[in-house]
Amino acid sequence: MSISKNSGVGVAGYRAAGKPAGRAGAGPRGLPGEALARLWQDKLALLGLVIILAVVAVAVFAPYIAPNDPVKVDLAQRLAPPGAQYPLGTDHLGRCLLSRLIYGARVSLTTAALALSAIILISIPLGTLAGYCGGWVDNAIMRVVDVLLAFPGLILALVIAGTLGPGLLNVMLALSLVWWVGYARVIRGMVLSVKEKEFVLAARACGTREMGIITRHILPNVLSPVIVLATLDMGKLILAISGLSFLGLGAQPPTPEWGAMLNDGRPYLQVAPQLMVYPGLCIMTVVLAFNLLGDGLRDALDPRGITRL
Amino acid sequence: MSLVPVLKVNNLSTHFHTRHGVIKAVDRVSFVVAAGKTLGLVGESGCGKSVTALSILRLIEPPGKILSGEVWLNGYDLLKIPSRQLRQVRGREIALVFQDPLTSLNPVLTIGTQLAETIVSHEEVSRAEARRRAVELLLRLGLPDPERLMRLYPFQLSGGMRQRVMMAMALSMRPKVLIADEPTTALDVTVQAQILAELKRLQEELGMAIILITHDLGVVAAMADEVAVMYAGSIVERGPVAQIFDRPAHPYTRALLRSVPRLGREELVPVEGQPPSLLNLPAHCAFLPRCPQAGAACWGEKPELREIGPGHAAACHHLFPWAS
Amino acid sequence: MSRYLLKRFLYLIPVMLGVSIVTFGLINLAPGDPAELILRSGGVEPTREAVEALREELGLNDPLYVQYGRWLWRMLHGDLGKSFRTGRPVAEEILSRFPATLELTCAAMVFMICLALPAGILSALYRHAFLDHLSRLGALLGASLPGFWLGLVLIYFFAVKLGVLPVMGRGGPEHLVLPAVTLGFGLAAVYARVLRAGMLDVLGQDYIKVARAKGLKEKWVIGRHALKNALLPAVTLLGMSFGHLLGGAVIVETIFAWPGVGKFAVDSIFNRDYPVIQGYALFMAVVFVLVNLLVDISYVFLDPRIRLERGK
Repeated sequence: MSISKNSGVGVAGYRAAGKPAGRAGAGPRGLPGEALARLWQDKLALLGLVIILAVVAVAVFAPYIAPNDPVKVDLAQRLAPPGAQYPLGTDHLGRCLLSRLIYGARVSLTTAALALSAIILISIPLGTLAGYCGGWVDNAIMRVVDVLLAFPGLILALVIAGTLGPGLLNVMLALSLVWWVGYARVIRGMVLSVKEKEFVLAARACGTREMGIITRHILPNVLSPVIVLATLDMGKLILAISGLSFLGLGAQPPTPEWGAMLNDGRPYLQVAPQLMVYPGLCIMTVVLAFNLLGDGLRDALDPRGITRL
Repeated sequence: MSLVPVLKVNNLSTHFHTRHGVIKAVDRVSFVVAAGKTLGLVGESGCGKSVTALSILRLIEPPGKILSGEVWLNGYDLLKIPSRQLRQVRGREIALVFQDPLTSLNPVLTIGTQLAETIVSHEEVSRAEARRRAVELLLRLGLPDPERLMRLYPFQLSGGMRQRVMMAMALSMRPKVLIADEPTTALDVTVQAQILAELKRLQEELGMAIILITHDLGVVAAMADEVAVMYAGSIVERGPVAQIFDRPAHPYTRALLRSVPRLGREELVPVEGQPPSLLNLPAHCAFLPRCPQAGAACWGEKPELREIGPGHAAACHHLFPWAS
Repeated sequence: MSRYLLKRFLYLIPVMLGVSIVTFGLINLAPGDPAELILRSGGVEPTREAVEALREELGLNDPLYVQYGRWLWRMLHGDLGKSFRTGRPVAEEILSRFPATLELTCAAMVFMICLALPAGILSALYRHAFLDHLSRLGALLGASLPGFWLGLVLIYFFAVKLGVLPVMGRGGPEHLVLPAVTLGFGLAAVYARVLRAGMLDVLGQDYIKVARAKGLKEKWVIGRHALKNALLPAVTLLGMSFGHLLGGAVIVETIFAWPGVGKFAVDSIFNRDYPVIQGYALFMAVVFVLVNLLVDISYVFLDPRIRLERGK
């Protein structure tokens, strides 16, 4: 019922929020060997992982890989085609496109990772509290969730970021404040179902402290859907961050960010289309990689059953 | 009494090819069912009974595949006929009643719709006529107020009523063969008895052959004329019901009978061990790990079904003394 | 059923209240003094006296809950304040531009359904066939595609290189094509994947086996038994999709200079036109909530289990 029924965090949220927590079997499950084995066999997921690792490597070793300084302006060479000095050409201020793409990886990955960390840090305690305590605590938190879900996602982030002012930090803040709700609902759902399982009652019967029950029995079961969600959401977050930067709200000049670069390249579409093509390609590749890995993780941790006898 | 064979299954094999290996769900199964007679197909859960039923009607989907065998009905091999003809057989000549009546009925369609569509699919009748027939059928199966029932949805009925609706669906075309997969497992005992009684009554009326799939020996004793015992995908013993109960030849059959409560018996002796996983079965007799009679010969080839009496066959290297 | 609907409706009230609180609270997040901003936007030098005077006049020195109460009262009467920049009522500015956004969103939704429905369902029916692999690949790419990039690429090819479609602005149907496709494509990809998964799930159910065992024609099995079950959750998803479309419209309107509410909001953000931003957030939330309510109501009619109040 209500608006909160199916608004989750995209596809993964829809699936995870709609299903009862069937995966919480007897005892805590992190990533058991069987799931890892399944993942290993999933070629597409491995491809995603490889791409992500490559991009991370590029981001980490950016200063060594980039041929030029990404923020150095060279007006004499503005909008230059690919050449020896500037392998992919330059943008409207004469900055090296390739170098900006390389450093852009840093920006995108760190911003998304930080935002995701904030989201998880907010949602785990809130979701667990809501599920475990029930009663008015649960009600209060869920009302807040419902209110936040009444706004179309990107719009709320847009408005918050817009009000706070331009800048990557504000974008991160805005996205965190909007995105945590999906996770909180999933976590709450899992906590609710695990709470009633026998091994929790057994632990309580043995006199284990409440906090101990939470950390040792309940949280590990919550982990696996969160991991799946997080991986898939890295891609969505990068899309959101670059989207907001494209509008001018996120990364500010001269920070090299793929979305902002697309925006910069817009007026020069006819003259230098590569300014638009390459940043977009980068975004798509990274997001695709996270989607592949996330899909693989979801299939590995929650298989549909190989045979139906 | 002459026995007219209606359905003849010959060497039916259905395998599932999974990532982990091959599951031989049905391994060279053969049996015959006669008109007006009931064959009880018995075995533990997971031994391949349901898959056999599905295979007869070619309802197996990948990764399962019907590897070999023949299913003879009316002179046709059901495994080879074109799908258009097969569709005519399904529901009309052979009807299948599934195990779980709740999941077997479409939750978003009314009972009436689901009953009428079977009739309309097989015969050139108007929908009104089909519905009239459906109402009649529900009445005969002892369901009260069938007119109102037709407009209800599956979740609005009790388990027993749903099971009867399933049977009504199966019987609507007066099939020659009725395959009932665990028709009473999901029900409580009183309803069970009612349904079985109705089945028997309808069988006499229609001269229908029934294959009764169950793990409940009590039901078998009450209903079956002949019994086929399945273990790990193969039939290990087959024969008239009296023979099977009084003189079981196969160690598994014996063990099964010993583990079931009976008047006058003091002890319940469970069958030792666990039913085997059907994954990557070994080439020797599947019952070997749990068999009290196991001997050297059992490690060799899998035993074939051998006649040990009139209409009675068993697959074992060490048959009991009274089996010659 | 009407009891369920009534509950649903009543439930909206606290949510909308919360929405209004959030929207009101937003303006307090803004850096800078609102009175100062107003003066500046009006071209008046914000001296200390002028700022103080305006603050008094606008009641900005009253405690927050009083301000909220006043704002809520005005809002319920349709008064969302006046734009800092143009001075015209915010409600008027937003409502005049909303039809354009609605047009775009609906066109995108139609495109999305026309693309995703056959793709998802056929993909499930012909599992592992070439069509399935192709559409899954397409869906995967589409879900990873940045919408703004797609828009620019499409502009480049169709408008610049081929010159068949206009680059921007609103007009006849040819103006609607590129923006609608851009907006709808990404979501169509996600939708197709969900539909495929749902359809596969339904196809694996017992009642489908039963339908086949009864000897029903395959077309009947799929069309009557499978589809009805598979499409039910798809309907609810439409509601959520509408929200994503509204959000995505902001970017698409910016690229194609589509005179809708999203572009207006972005412009206002850069103009620090806070009443507009606030009004926009509120308006969008209301629209979204209403759409979801409609979807939920229709779901009640479609699913007999809910309609009959979970009978036995």
